[in-house]
Amino acid sequence: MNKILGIFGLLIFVCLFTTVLNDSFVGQYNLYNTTRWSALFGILSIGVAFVIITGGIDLSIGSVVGLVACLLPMLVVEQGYSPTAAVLIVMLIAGAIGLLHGLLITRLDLQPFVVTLCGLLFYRGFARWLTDDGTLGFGQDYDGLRLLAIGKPCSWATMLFGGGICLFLYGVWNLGRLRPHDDRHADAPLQRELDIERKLSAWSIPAIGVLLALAGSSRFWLGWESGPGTPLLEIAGYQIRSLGIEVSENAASMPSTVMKYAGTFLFVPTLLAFLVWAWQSDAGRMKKPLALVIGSLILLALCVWQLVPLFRSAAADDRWQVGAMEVSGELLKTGLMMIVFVIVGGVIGSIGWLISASGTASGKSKALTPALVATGVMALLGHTQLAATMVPMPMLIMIALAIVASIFLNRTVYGRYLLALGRNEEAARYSGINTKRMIVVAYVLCSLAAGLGGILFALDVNSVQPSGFGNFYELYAIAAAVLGGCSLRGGEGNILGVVIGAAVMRVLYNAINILGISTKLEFAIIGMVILAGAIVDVVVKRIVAKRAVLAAEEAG
Amino acid sequence: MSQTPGKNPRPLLEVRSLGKRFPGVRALHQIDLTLMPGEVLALVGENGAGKSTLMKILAGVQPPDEGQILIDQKPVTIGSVAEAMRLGITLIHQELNLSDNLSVGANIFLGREPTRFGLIDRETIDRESRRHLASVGLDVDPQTLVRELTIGRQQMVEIAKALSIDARVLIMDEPTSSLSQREAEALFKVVQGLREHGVSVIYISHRLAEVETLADRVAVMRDGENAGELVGDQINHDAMVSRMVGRDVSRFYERTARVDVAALGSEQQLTPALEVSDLIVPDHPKHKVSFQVMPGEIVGIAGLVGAGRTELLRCLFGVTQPLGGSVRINGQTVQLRNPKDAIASGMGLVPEDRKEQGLVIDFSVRSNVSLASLSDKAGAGMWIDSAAESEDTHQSIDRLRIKTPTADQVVRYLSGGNQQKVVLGKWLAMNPKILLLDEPTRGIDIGAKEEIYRLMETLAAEGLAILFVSSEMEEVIAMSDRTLVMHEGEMTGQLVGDEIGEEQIMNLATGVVSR
Repeated sequence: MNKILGIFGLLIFVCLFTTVLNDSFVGQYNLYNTTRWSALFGILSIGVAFVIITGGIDLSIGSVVGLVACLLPMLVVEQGYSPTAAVLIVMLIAGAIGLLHGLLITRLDLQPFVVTLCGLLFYRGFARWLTDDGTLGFGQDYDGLRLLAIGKPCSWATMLFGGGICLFLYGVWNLGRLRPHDDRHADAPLQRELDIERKLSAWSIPAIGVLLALAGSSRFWLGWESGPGTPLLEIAGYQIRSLGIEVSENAASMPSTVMKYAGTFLFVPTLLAFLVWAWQSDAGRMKKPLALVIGSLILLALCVWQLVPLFRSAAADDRWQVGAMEVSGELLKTGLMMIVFVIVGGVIGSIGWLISASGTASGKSKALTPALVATGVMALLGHTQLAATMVPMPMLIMIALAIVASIFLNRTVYGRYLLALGRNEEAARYSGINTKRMIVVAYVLCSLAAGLGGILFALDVNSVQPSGFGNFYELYAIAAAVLGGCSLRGGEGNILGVVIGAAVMRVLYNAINILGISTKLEFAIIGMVILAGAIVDVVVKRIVAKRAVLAAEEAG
Repeated sequence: MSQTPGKNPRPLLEVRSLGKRFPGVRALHQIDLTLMPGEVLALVGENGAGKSTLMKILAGVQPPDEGQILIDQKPVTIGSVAEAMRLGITLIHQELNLSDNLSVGANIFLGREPTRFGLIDRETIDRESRRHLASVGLDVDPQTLVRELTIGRQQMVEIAKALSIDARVLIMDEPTSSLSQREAEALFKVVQGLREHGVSVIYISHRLAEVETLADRVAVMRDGENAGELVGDQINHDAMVSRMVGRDVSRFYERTARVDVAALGSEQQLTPALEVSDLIVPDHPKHKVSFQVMPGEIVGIAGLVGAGRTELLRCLFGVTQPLGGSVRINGQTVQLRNPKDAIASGMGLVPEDRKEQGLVIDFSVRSNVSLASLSDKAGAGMWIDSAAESEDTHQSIDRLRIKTPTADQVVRYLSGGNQQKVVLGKWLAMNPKILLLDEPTRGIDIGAKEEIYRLMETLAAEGLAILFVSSEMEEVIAMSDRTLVMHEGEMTGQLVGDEIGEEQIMNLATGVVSR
């Protein structure tokens, strides 16, 4: 949970900062594109997370994406297979690739790095040979199939509404299973604390669900500006569009000024109260993180105050005097961005993390969580065009996949086995776990996700060049998984973090574009941000370890 | 050497109130130690008493948390192994630290190779190595690869290496644990020779008989603290042991009632819980092993390190595949292709290395306890039953008295004894019929040891068959109804009841007699 808060903080920060510098970031067009690409990369990252959890690595993802993206149009357009059959066939091939990787790694004891590196080379070469390096696409005849990637089934407002209701129902079901005194061995005060914590987190789920549903549907029950059709129509949007009926996307730009101001004015004090109460709950251990939070806030304020005007006024071909050096406006902008992203991004990214790492927040501040989420969403809806932005189809697919993957990882014995063998394969084997089979499963899942990603990427772009399609995607996926809390040593990781990690990668990329920074620096900036994240991770781990030692010693 | 010769030579090495903590353990507390020039100081104590930690600090492997180290009465900080070597302190590890792919000479000069014209000067290495090897009485060609030497000879190479850097303090950690009698005697001669040359030796050993013959002075440690010092005539077995365990020895290890299960079995025609016939363990293909364990019986396996005891348990548990023979559980012949099969037929193994094989050390107590039984209790074969998981965890915590702040504490931060109880808890959650324990009390404190003994007794009384391996003679003698002794992969004998004694076990374990 701590890690998710940290990476989520980083995402929010990068979004906010980019918006402050250029508000076209929150325009409908940009929001739609960013969410779509985040979802596409999210799918790949979820897959590779399973492999990373076992302590392995899959370098072949990009090439599998390329191969699948070549095979699908070949089968559909050239060979005349039905779209359903073609999708099934390429998924089977992807699964077989994963099976092959898994078997080579477990039966022949080859190293994952070597096996998948060979895969990277082989599938790329094979795809190029197969297609004779020619560009492939679906043309205009397969728009029904292409809706999988470019469909816009509903707006984010509907999504919030539907998601809120689902969350509410899940929360209520979960409350029914809540049993008191789960940990009868904790001493009385700790017991009470744990009890409160558990109850609060259990109750906050349906509460957040209700609030999200209310926020999502607000423009109807408050009678605000009209949105793109009724929710029902929007849900049916996918089918309607496939029938050739246009659904308006621009009917509403901003929901309402009420939402904007109410959200902001409620959110800021809620956040402050959250921080203050968290600090009071465990003052001794909170000092360092709090100092870090205050320091970074001051730094952020300085940045906004000093750098934003500078940034906005700097044009690419200006000359600026910095100390003894004369630099171009572009270089200046880039420099400013680097400083801000790396220093402040790294620090702010760790705030939420540190709060929960050093003495968990008090019951009071935990009680604020639903309010924090709700007001945050209100502010978000009020300030951006998110409510009216359409949800890309890949986002729905990714969310469904993430939920299934999350349940698999956390609620089934197989997920537990993956985590256990990732941490300590020998101990897992000694506990009667068929570790080899589980490792094969992880590689199959990874390649299947890569296959699904490949299908969607191909449908999305509609023009596949075998030599370069999907290049480096494995590295984006691995970076997202690592940012999201997977350890390359294995045994660690959660799906939500990975998905947010993928979003951070895309938002960073988008920010670099939208702020007019040279795209040549794309890799350099992303690299530095990930490095900052990794450093924070290590530091926080040490803090957590120290706390755990103290706790163990108190127990004797 | 700077100290003045005389009747009262000043100490070469002094340690003052040294302290060291590890996650969850206080390894050393207020340790004082003095070492005179040319002295053999033996350091004795139970497993986990902190001997190895203290030596690692002296050798620069780990830094101390508090306290002072003085050499020639000057305070020093030993930040690295290289620094320790510069100060003349060398540690010879329990597991030898030689690169076995390199030659003897290359090992002796590893890291400080003499060069000529920028290239390694092989001739000098050869010449010098021969000289140092001769001084430890080892007649091997410096060009020989280390892996071609026996363990005993490799140890001599280590000593030669230490001498080659003019070591003044030589720390030997359990040097004889894997040596044959003859090799050990050769080693003693070398140690005595070192003393005469003014080299001080800190000698760590569990074998108290060795200590009696070799040591000028004995320092005893217990639970990370000083527990007394013995000089000259005071050095004898009982004095050492009573200080090591900190109470009257005779009362410590004692089973309330031994079961003569063999007699019981023939009376009641019981089926053995575990019956092994002519099993050929892959690590020792020359020998066939046969024995049986009755329900309710505690059978100990004694032997020296490398006798094949761990390998036998691993083979029984399906980790390795036997080359022949059969295993019957409750009269049924079983095929154990992997640990999963073994668990399915009612076995549990508490392995030798609990951090590597017993536990997922970064998992919580809850996840560790449930790991083996998870799939049995899973809904529809895949859904984790968290209620059952909690129930098992709390039962284990209660029954084994695991000291942990919550059931969700990460196991890494528990003490060794509590970690071991978590491993036991994992198997108890399975309701096993046969429990295999490999060094169940290694590295855990005395209180926890006693609890584990009591638990073994209770479980046996409930009808569990227990087979345990231990290198602690007293433990085997005290706990087993029957003792099996192994020597180099061979089952050299079986002792029942009053026959179980130190001398009998030692004779069988060293291969002196066989029956």
